[in-house]
Amino acid sequence: MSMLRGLQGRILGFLGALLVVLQVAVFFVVDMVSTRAARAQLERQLTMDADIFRELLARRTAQLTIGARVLSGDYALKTVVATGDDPTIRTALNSMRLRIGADRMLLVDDQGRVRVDTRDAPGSPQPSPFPRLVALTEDRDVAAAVDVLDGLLYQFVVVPLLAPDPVAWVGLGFVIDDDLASELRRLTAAHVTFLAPRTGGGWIAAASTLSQGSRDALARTIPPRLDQAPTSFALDREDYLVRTVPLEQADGRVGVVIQVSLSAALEPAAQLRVTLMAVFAGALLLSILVGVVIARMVSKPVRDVVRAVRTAATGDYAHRVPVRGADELGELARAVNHMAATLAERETALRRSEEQLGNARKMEAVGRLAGGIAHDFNNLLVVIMGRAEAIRDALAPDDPRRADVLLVEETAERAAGLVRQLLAFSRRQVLRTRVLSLNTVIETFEPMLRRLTGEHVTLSLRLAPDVVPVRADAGQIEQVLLNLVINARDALPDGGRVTIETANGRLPATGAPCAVLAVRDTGTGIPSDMQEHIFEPFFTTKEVGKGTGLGLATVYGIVAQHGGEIMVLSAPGSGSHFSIYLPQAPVAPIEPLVTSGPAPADTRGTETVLVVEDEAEVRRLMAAALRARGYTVLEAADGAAAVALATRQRRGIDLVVADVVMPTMGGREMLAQLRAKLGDVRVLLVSGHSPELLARYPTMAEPAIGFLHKPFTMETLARKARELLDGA
Amino acid sequence: MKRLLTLLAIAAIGLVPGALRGADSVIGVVVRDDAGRPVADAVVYAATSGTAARGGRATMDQENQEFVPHVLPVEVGTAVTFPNRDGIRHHVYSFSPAKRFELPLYTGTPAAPVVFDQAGAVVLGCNIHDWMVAYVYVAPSPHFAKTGSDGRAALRGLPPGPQELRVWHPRLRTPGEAPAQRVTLGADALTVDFKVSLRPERKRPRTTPRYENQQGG
Repeated sequence: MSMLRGLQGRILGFLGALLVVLQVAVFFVVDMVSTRAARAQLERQLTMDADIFRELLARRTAQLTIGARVLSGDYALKTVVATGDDPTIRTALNSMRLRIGADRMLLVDDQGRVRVDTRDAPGSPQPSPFPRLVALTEDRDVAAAVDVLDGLLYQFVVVPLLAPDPVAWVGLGFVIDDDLASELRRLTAAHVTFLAPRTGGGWIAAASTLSQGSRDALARTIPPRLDQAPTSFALDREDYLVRTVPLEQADGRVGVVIQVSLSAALEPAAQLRVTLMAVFAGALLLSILVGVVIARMVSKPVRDVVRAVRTAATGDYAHRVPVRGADELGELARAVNHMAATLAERETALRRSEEQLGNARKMEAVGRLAGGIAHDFNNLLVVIMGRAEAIRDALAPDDPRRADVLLVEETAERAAGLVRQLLAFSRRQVLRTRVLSLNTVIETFEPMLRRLTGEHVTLSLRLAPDVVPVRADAGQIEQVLLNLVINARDALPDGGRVTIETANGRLPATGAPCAVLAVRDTGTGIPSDMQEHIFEPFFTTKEVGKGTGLGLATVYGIVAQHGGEIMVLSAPGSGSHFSIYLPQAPVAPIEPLVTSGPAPADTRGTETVLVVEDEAEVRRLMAAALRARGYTVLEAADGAAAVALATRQRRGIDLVVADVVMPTMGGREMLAQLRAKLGDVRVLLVSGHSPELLARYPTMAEPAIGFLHKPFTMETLARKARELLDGA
Repeated sequence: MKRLLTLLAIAAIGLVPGALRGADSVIGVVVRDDAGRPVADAVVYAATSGTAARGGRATMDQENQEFVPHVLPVEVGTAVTFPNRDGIRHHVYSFSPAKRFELPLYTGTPAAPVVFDQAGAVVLGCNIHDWMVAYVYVAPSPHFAKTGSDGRAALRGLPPGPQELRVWHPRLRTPGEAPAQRVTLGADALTVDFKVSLRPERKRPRTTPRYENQQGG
């Protein structure tokens, strides 16, 4: 998860960083450009202001000059001046001053002395404060200048009093004060400060639109030599762009400072900065949001896939990735889902086969145990039955003890039946297989089954006419049908329906073609937790005494011995469905059901019979029974003894009755040696078990070899022997 | 009147002494400015020559709204008439210390001439025509002459012996201090060179008489 967070984080981080870098770059570029543009604009404005300012001053001078020019020819003034009466001249000058609007008037005589000054009290004549201007009027009518006089800054206009040559000079002074500065400021929108030279160097602000403190601070920063290049100047925490303009009329001794607020000019730039920052912040926020959404769109499906894979790793295959779209991510999600589904299937299959394997091993073990027990039981039962038979034969037909002996015989028969079932389950009974049709077996056995089911249960057959032939033991198939139908009937205590079906199908394990025999009922069904136990021997749900618990175990054994499979579908309340799959037989004609020929009426004979049996009791019993029927009986305890006996007897032996399983020499080897000595001797094999018998005795089918299953009665033995001896 | 005529006669003799008394030597004067150019309208006079004759007459005309001549040298005591030959009035005045007078607006020739009884330069103006300017130089001796456009003038009838010659000009830089040269007059003719420093000529814008409302130059 952290890896994906990391991926998402990296995408976001990278995009975010890129955006921030771009924004910072744009911000600085815009800021720089706008600041520079504003500053350039301001410098242009300053230059323009300087020009406006010069023009204004020039106009003002021109205006003042007009008045002065008129004055220079004023006859009355000339007359007054000619009187040489200074008090009169002073009053006349003041009168003129008021007429013109000048602040101060001076009269300078042809000796260059101030004769009268309207500002001063009468006194001794002072030297002219503007000899230069007087000199300038030598060849012109008027001269103007800006200069400081008595601490005040004046714009002076000097005219000669012409009579018609100059007889005196009149100086008109116009004070340059804050009012003029304010007027100029109104026209130029710039701060205006007039600088006058300070005694002892530096500048003094003679007039200004600034406050007293500010104008002094400004005057201190201006270099002695006026430089017209714009400079920055910080005043009252505000930045100004400053330009000084030396006044031509003052020979550079008086300058004007015009200053515009840099801060005010940069205000739009500052606002732009704020706007930019806001826009950038918004853009950053938006892009982060969009980035998160996009990263989610990409990483969410990946996270889902990772979660699904992790969940699958814990064994939970049910989790599915939501599939979004048909792109690569959707494809990935589908692939993961498919993988999970496949894994789930395989796991289920594996578990099932493990279960089946476990069940099979358990059944195998139980089967071996049962087979071993049955073998010993058979030998015991042969003796019991044989002896009881002998006793019965020895008793008179009306002997009252005869009933007891018969009961012993019947009980032994029942015990033999149980052992047979055990053997069937353990697949150690001898099969007499042939190629047959299941339909034929079922139809033949139907009347018997109907008797079993009774009236309250309906038995129906649904047989597929084309069901494939199988190689099977018909009797065992009947046994299977019997057990299954009894089971079905017992599941229908209140009546119902039992259906027997046949069909063609395929073996669940191998897929090979097979015939299917199914028995269905509409009964109570089998709880799922019991289904895995129903084929175990002695497992029963029936009341004690009603069943042996061997029925389904027998079915299982028989089917397994036939190379088939059995499956149960059942649920409580919906009945049970047993399906038996038997492999299709290799192509071979169906053999007709051979009914055993009529039992020979007489079981007596005079031939010589060799009985080979390791169990002494059984051997003696068989020998006695055969001798009692007229046969000459030779006895051997094992294979080696039998071979030795045969060697001695040479051609006197007509029939060998032999147990298949014996110590020291197996039945098969013994049989081979006997045949070498005795030629095509008839053989009757007896055995309590061993499915291997079929494989080891491929000649079982030949008429010269017979087989008798333990336990058997002596009567049966005698009859079987007679059949073999009488056979072709 | 008779006395006046006598004065004029004497002055005429004094002005052209050589012509009347051919035996008298002549002093030729050349006045040049700083640049060496000949200076016209300079008045040259002998400052140290005996007592001057008195009672002469002279005329300063006003014609075409100008004074004629521009410079009029006279001996002390000369009576100058100011005949107005224009169809309009003039108002002649002088605020010069040597002669302060005023002839308020008039036409024709005023009855009484103005007697210049004090040596010195007298600047004449017209109160109503700013451009009109003329100078009457009242010389302290009868021996004076005015330079022409070639800057030359001739002083005649001066007695032999040492003489102090002075020059005056309306545009002299140092008006009070007329340059002086001492010469000794002998049998031979003398030529005296004066060098004067002049102010530039003042521009006096005026209208032409024909087109009164146009500015003249």
